[in-house]
Amino acid sequence: MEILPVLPHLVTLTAGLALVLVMPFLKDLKWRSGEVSLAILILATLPIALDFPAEAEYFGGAILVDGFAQFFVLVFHAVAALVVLASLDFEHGRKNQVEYYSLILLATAGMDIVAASTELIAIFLAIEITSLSTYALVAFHKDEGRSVEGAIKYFLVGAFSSAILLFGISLLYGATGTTFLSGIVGADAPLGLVLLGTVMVIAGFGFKVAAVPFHTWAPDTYEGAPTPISGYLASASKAAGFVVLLRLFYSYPPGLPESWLAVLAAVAGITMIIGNVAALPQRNLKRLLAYSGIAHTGYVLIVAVTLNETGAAAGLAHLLVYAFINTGPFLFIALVDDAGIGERIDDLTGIYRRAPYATFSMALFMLALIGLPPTGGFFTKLFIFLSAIQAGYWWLAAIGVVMSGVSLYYYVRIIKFAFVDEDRPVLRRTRPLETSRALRLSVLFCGVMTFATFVFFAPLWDLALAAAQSVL
Amino acid sequence: MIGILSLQMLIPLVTGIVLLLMKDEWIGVVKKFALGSTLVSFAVSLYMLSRFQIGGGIQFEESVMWIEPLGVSYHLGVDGLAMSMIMLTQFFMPLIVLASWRESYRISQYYGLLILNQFALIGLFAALDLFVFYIFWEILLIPMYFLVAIWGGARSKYAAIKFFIYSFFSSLVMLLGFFALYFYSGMNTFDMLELTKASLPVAIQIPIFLAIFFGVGVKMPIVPFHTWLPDAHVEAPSPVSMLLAAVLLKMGTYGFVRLNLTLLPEAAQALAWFTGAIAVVMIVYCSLVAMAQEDMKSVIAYASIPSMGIFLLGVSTLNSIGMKGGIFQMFNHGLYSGLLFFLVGVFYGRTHTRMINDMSGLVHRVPILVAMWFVGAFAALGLPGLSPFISEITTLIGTWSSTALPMPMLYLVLALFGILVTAGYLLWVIQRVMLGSYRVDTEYGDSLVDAHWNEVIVGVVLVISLVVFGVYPAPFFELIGEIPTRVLEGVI
Repeated sequence: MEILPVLPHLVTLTAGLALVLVMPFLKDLKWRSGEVSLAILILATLPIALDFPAEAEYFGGAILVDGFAQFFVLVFHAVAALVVLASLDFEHGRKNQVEYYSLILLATAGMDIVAASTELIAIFLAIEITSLSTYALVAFHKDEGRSVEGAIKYFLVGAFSSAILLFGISLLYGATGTTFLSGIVGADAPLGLVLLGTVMVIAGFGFKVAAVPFHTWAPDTYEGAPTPISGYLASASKAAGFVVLLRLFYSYPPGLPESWLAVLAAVAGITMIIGNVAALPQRNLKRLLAYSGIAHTGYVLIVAVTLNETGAAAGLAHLLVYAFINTGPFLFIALVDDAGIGERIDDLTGIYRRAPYATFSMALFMLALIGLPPTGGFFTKLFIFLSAIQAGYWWLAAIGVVMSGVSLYYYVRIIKFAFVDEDRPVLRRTRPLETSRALRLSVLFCGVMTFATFVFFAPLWDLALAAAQSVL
Repeated sequence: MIGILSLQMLIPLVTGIVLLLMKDEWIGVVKKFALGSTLVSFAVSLYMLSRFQIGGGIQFEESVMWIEPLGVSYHLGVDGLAMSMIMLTQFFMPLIVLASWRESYRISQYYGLLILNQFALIGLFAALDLFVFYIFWEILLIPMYFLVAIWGGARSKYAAIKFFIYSFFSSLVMLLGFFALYFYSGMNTFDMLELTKASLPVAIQIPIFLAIFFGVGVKMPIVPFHTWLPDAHVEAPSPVSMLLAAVLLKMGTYGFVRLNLTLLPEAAQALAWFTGAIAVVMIVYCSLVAMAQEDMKSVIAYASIPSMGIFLLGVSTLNSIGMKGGIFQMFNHGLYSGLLFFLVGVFYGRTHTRMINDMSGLVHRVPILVAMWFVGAFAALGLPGLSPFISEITTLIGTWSSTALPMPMLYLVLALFGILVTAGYLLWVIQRVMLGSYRVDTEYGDSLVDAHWNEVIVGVVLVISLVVFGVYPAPFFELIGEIPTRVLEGVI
């Protein structure tokens, strides 16, 4: 049995547990838990460089580490590393440092396992590890009302969706006699039960990715959570939900009648519309990003409908680029918040003078989310539309196009406040922003990656294609 | 060794980035660096022109595979049409730098963004791959948004975001057209040269034609998608309006010839009546609207649209004469609208008003500027001796003998009517603003100074070009001579 492919998962999981068990005994090292976690998150991805794409099965086929799973490990660890890096400063001096970082490690480990699971109970266990960890992380600022409020909303909706998920799993087991995804496909089972079970499973994950109508928790939770954690939820948690949905639709199509694909397409369309339209009046940056995230869920859902090679690669590439272009803005908000400025769009007035490189990175993030060059988000979003055309879903591409046009307004508005508007007299606010190095580094790194994924898009696409092959 | 086309992109790219990093306090260095860089670029383009073989098809080709699985390659190359547009751009940039010489607010960012536009424009005109074309098409929106929003007038932020959203949305529709072309041709490539060999059934060509027409049409701009233009042109600082009118509008016209006519010939044939009709509407309607404007800059802005209407009419004739006329019109419009926008900005800088009713008799105080205005206005109405006369006449002759247009006489008569109205409002502006007794209704009225050195250079250069091409248009027609035949044959 090869251990190399599953090493990332093992290391992250063990580290998460070990951290909280060992650190209390190491008095001084406790304050370094953040750096330790960062190192572990990065090192844990090294085995992937040695053996990609892998093809290793464990636990009788319940865990399957293939190129697809490894690709997502990269995504999750990238987001987690960035969030940890930013938290080094953002959560500096708070109590319960060890618990915080250990929860992030555990959540990431859970996601890694979800990406490699092809059996429903394993999926459920892994997703619960992640969910419970993130519930606690959202509530981490115990003294802030909105942090706790966001956590309770998230927890209640999350628990509810886990229940639906479990119910769906039980129906599928009852109908087909197995919990392995491969066994459910083509099983000789009453269609109605399979249908119902599948729909409930999809609904359970629909919540995770904040698809309509399971999206209502996102704005409140993102707004209340500590900002780096909002970024973690927005980029990593979402990708985790998509892992299951994509694996389900591409590898193990549940044999749903054609009409159900149309329903899914409608969900994609409505999600794009609602996400973008609801973002327009937002004044709080985190809420705006929450709705923008819902819109992007809609774009990625397109590839769950089109089911072609371009779609798979585009969806994967988009989720990887998303790790940077979506986490970046949250980290920028954290940076600005840490310097005492605020979370509203108008608080950003003229900020380019005070933090030029970080603000420029923010502008790149906005351009990437719109889908403009020179960012990676340009290619990935457009190739999603290409896959829609190739699959004949003209109208989905058209909705995507119209909604992208709408989204331009609220993304550019942020750029406008940051670059165009100025506090007069200008001299009053040109002191450089007081921020700490790690926060700034995390934002700038995201900015560099946003541009790099444009210039080096060809290798990124090759990577995504290779990972997609495992499920096609 | 870097190709000459990539070099012409690299110079402004590096210059632009360096300028963005410079500080505003180094204002002298910034201006000289910007001017030097644009002059160097122009010199390189002249060298390229000297090495260009007339009638030789695509030259200076560069091709590097970029994203292999999707058939996207970094493919550049120029023929006569692209050459003319690149020369126009490179020629204008130093003039625009000179026209901005008195700007000082966030000056390094201003010049940086301006020159980054140059980078994207060269890339656009030289692109032979649809995706690369699209990338440059979109990139241009970003510096333009900032240039209008930051340095523009009172409603600049509204105008800038309107322009941005309008253009972005229409380019996405155009992109869907590109994707359809990619998919239905079955060739798995975005390369334009390859796609000309694809033969799609007319039923598929027509929706693709319309999608791409929407994208390039918003830039041209065609009626009824022209409403961004008056706002953007009026609110932008004048040198930026020069760039917008002289070069950016040509993105749309160039795109129309390169994409709609060459890649989708049967659809172009089938829809010639439609594009011709839109052209005529542009000519007549916008001339009438221009006549009603009270702001001098608005007049010139609306005056651009009938010009582009003449272009569209010329290329819709689908015969050699009409198309040559239309393409020459693209070039000439760049020259005279650049001159007129420049002068409007200069007048505004002097009098601090653009309202026609506020001024009169300017000839008495600023005769040199007014003389330049005369040339520009006469060019706009097609006076013989200046280049637009040649392009308008050629277009109209082409319309007369066009087989692609039903009832060509109707198009011809309506176009002539529009040209007549154009003469009307331009002369009327001259009569009210330039002639008569001197009156300026702002507090700056007593201190008007005639042209500064940088203004003289810009104005005289443009005046001379209008005259030179007006009496000796042969070189231009030689440069683009092969284009109509190649387009009609569906070859790039």
